[in-house]
Amino acid sequence: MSLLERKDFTAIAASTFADMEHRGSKPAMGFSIRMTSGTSNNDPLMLVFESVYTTQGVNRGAERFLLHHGLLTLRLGNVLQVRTGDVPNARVLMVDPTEVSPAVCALVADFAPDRGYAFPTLIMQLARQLDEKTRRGIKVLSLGGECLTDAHARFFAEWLPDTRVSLVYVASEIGAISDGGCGYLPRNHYHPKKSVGVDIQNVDANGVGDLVISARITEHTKVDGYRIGDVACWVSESCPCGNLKTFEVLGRRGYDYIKLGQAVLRQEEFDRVAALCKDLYDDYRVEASVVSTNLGVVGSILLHIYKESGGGAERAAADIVARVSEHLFVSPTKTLGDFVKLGLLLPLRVEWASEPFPKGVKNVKLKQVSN
Amino acid sequence: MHTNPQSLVDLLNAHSTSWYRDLWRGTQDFVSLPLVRRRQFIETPLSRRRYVDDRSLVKIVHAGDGPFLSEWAFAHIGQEPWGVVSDRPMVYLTDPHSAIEKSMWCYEQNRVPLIGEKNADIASVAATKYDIDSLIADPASVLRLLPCLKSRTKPLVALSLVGESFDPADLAMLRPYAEEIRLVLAFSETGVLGVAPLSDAPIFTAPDNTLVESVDGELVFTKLAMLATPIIRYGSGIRGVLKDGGSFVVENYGDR
Repeated sequence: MSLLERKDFTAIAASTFADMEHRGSKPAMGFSIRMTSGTSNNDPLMLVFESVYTTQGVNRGAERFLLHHGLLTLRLGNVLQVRTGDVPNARVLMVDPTEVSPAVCALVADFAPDRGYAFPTLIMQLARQLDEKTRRGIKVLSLGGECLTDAHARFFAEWLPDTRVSLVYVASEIGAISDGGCGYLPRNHYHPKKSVGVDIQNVDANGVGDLVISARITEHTKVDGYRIGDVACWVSESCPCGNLKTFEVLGRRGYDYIKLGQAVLRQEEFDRVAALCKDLYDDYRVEASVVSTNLGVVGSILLHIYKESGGGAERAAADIVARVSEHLFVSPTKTLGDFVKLGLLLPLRVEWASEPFPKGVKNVKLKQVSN
Repeated sequence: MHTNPQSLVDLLNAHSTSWYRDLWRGTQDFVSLPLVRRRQFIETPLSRRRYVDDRSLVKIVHAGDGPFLSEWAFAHIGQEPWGVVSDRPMVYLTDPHSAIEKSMWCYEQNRVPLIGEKNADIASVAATKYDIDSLIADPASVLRLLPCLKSRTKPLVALSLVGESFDPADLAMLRPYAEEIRLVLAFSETGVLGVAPLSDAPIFTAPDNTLVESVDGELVFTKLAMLATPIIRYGSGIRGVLKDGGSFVVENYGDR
């Protein structure tokens, strides 16, 4: 089966609009227009979701629902779910990322949310400013939009200890892919939504491959075999909840997760090692590439380093190369240093940055470049 | 809708929420009630001025003196004349809370709205793809969509401009882009106070559910509906003159 890519969505989008136009007696509230963000270097994609197929259910049971995430089309879809949802007196409050302040947090306290749906990095900024009573009042927090890191997990354990954090896997082109979470799943692990087909293709020796999704998004429009751009693997153990199907999302191909020959570079692993190297650098960015040498085709990693108190000393660079090579795992059992010894990667290179790195919402630190 | 403001006052005086009762200090007669103002919305948490427990949208309103919450039941949002019902409406407003509210108004009219993202380029691409036929915007946001409006081969059925004040001279340049341009005078906490066709001297008509009085030259509004926070003798700060049939002319929008 040939897989669908994002470019194939032009025809799919047209089909969804036709479904909306010819919806007959179906109420408008069953449909919403969605737009993708520009993370894939393509034009924004616009298509229609029919909620009966795409709904996330993140507001299920919520009486006072807090929304704190990005695109307006997505927020409107969530408000619509509250309007048509199961709680007759449910209320919804949206906090825009640009308006977080102590005064707005006092208003959130007055609203007293019991459930929320948020982008992880954004809710961290908001939660830091909420009083303890308000934070403890949030019983369920659904998160979507990015993989959770150790830093996220530590934050939620410390700042929202009474909150059941539930990860939702949602694609802007498809809608909800996972169900709302059973309460047992480790982070970045999901059960597929019943109506969604999940497959992992082009798997490597570790069982890691491309996540491929099949799902209906309107009555007459089914996306069949869409390579979504994330890499994932099946989890062999069954979940305590009884669900036998669990997959783990490892990240976005080319962002959180880069395959470099047999090496796998994960931003989370670089973050872990950066924490071990706090005395040597404050922040980093990684450029990964494949280069041809007289030994063959090998991977090359360039680590850009920023240190607020200044850097650039040759000795410090050598220390960084040594420490990162020793501690950074690029496979389940082997470090960067091991891969260099095996001739699978070139020795790590370090360059000093003179200014702090620009920060985006998703804080992407890994980049694959072509040589 | 309450046809008689006094019946609404009687309900509020007997209600378990005491906000208005406390403000009115025993006054029972509608025409004698003290005015309520935005300042009192800012000073009072929403939880102490909620009168209904309906499925609703809660907005953050950024006023000059500080933010406050304004809650609107979806059913009441649908009753406000925010726009003209059309097949492919677009909502493009500077304030995201207001944008969500007006989009929900479209849904309450059984229409699927396109909500414009903040980025004007993306909003313009979306407007063109959806082939919008009406637009709810504000005087600032509509200017960001101007290149898109200029590129259209036919005018919109309607352009509804939502705001707390208007300068008709500045808006006249929008005439080629819509068959009908409506000025929708509104505050976030009150809903629509009046609607006027764009003209040099707009004459606003209050919606059916809205009673307008003039108190010492200030326009004072009452919504004849049991809103989440009811609007009873709301001092708008707008100086104006009443006309026949619930119409009014604004002399000065006031300094809010």
